[in-house]
Amino acid sequence: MTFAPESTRKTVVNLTFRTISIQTALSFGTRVLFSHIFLWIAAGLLVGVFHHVLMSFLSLGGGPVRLGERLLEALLLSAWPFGFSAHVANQEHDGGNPGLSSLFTVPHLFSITFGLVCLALLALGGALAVVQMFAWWLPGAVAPLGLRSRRPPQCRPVGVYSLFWRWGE
Amino acid sequence: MTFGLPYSFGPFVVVHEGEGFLSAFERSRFLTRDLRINLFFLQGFLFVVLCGAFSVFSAIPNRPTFTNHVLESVVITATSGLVGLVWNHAFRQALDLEGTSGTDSDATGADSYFRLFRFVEFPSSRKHLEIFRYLDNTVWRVFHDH
Repeated sequence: MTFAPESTRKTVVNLTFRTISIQTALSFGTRVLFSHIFLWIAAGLLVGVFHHVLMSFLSLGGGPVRLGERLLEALLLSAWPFGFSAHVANQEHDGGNPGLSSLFTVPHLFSITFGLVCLALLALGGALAVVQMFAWWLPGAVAPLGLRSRRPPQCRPVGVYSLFWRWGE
Repeated sequence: MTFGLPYSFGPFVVVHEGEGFLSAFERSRFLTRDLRINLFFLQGFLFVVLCGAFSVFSAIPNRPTFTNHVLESVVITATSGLVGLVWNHAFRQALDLEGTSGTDSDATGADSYFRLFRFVEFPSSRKHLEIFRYLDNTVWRVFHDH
């Protein structure tokens, strides 16, 4: 065996192990959410008006809405409270006092929405590709998602399908 | 979702630093280096929150009335609010770590180790050959000390 000479041995340097604490983030998020619960309810009421108008537009007076349209509408609708929450979190960190006025001063809303849509396309596109692959591989066992369908899917495994549990009522 | 992990801080870069969304994604790639496993668990938790919100959502009747739409909006707002708050906190932690160098960085050069525990050292180079050189050095140290 060839031993490394002293001159080529590495120097030990104490570096910081880069990690983030998910637990701290969770406790911060729940604390801020519940400490400003009326702010979120007020935001939800405001968003509700837009939601009602959009759904009336999409359903053309009460008709069924496509799954893809509904998902896209929910995604666009959640961009505003998402940017608002980031704004509120920054104010909490920097010692500010978040209030209702923060709801109307969300900066860079268009870029936030575009970024969210891109991330959702990555996530949903990957999920759709996997579902379609399994539907092609196991045709009887897995049903394709069918974003253009106006009817509730027959099988409802997890997550997004639970949106449509009461579709037919 | 896994492919999107490096870009997951993009919207927050926009909020904090006012970047355009393309450069924000590039910056997010830089900020999330060495943090991909943390982000995987973070996104996993956010997925669980989303599934819980969908379950609450499904309990709301599907009749297209104004009340139902407002209830749905409150659920959407609370969910995206919680998700945004948690995510933003993780982003700020990553910002605080920006000055530090990690395992996947050449900021301190390839000839360095980082110390995870007191007696365990890992090579910090991306070159796999460094691992063999590290093992070689360790074996040499063991024989030398005994």
